[in-house]
Amino acid sequence: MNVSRDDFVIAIRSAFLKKQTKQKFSLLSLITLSIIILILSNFDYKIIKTVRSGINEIIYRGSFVISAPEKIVKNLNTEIRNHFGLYSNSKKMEKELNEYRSQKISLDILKFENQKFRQQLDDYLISTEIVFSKIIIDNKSPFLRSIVINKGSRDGIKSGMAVLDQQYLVGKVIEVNFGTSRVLLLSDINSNIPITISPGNLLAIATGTGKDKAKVNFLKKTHFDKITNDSLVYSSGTGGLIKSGVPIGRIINFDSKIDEDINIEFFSDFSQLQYVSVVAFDKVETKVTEKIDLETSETENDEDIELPTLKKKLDLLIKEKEINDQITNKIKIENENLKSQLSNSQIEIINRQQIIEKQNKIIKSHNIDKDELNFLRLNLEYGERCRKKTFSKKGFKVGTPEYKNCVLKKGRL
Amino acid sequence: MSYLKKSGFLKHIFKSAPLIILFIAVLNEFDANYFGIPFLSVNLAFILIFFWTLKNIEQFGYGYIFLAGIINDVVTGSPLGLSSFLYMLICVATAYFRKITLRPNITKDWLFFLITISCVNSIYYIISSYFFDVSIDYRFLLTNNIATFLIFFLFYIIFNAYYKKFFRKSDV
Repeated sequence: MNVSRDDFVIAIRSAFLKKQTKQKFSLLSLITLSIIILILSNFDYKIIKTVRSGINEIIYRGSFVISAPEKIVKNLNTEIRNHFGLYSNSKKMEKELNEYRSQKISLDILKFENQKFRQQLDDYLISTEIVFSKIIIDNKSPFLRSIVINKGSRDGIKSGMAVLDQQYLVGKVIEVNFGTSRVLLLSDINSNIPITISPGNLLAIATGTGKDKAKVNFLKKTHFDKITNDSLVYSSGTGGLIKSGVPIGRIINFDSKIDEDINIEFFSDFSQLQYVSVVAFDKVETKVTEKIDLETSETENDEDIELPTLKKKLDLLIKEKEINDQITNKIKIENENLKSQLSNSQIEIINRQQIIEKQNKIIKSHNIDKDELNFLRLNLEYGERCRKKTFSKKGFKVGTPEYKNCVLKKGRL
Repeated sequence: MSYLKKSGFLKHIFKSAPLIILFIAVLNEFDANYFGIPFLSVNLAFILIFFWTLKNIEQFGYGYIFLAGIINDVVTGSPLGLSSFLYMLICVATAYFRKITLRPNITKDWLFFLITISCVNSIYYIISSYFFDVSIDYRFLLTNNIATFLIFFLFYIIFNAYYKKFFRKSDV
């Protein structure tokens, strides 16, 4: 036992301390160094930050270059797939575009109304500062869902800024270097974003799952019945980093009676991100400025303030009228179509009635023929009995109704 | 092939290939999950480090592995120095295993690889979760562990063939 224990100790000591053949560093020294780096990287000293930022810069660029061939292959694959699905995609998008066109006008009206209500509530306006950037590293680690963008502190990027793909929220900045930054995606397990679920205006937290979706947390089960599939998820604005109303995704595969977890499908496809916009939302108090404006120039400025608002309102009303006109035209066209359909069906009914009449006639004549045939058959058999003979008073003249009756009665006079 | 054997530069390239692959793997954050199969991912760096440090070739120095760890941390966004620490632990394990093994064979290496990566991944989980407050789904880690273990067999055969082809006893 002692021998084997000694062997183990010797082997471990040798593994740790001895520099192996042709090795320049001993393992113990490198382990100690990595622990020191681990501890130091947690301190927020400026020199450590600068060194870390420098290392990040160099490695990000290196990684970008190394990942280039893989990216080319991936893009090629996507392009080939897109090429094959071009026609169906185009049809689908055309349909979607038409829907969105009609929705956009209604959206403008709602946006205007929303702004108006905000002003009425004496809320703050939000000014945005947008920085467009390219993604240089988007390798999905199985444990961390993040991307690296080519804009850093020199471009005004700060930690905590929201990152959008078009108008959809995709994540937030967690690490800023001089010329690059790391963005934590909403799908990462460490990502927690305050959200609003609409309809119902339910407040909750969206937490990443490490997959391509997020789940809803901190929502009481009593509210579950208010949620349906395709309920929309927006940022709630709680915390002040991200403004309220930024679209995130929609609820999928949810049945309030069965499911415990509520899953969110993101509007944006994180695997296809190429460019993103980094946005800062600042609160600007409007209450004071508005009051000053009102006090100083009540009469003169009233018209100036009102004019653009009225113009905007007028524009929206014109657009609304256009929509109404379009709807009216549609209804008119539909009416005409229905009318023509009605007349066509009336003509059809008349034609069918004529056909029925003809068929009735045929049936009638068929019945007559049947009686005639019966008479002729009986006539052959009993005609001799009913016919008037030269020397007899009995019988009837051929062709008279009496003769016919006699034949039909089978020769009974 | 004889030309390749004669050319000193090419010989050097072939001998450095494992190290080059390691750096590409950490810079590219290679996880072999291009098919989008949930949970499936392979830690190629672990396989490379385990195999080549076990063979103890000259070109695969501890200093380079340490550097690869730092790069991996930066690329994946893990706490700086964590991967280096884990890679060094693998090196300790292989150094120990090399010392106690007289006749190496694939089964022993494979099983020892499972024990090593399981310990290393557990340490990774503990450090990330408890010291750095980074949440990690342990199911991902577990599946990654199993997938890496299973694929090691294949890589072992390939690397062993490569080792026999391009390395001599004088390189070790």
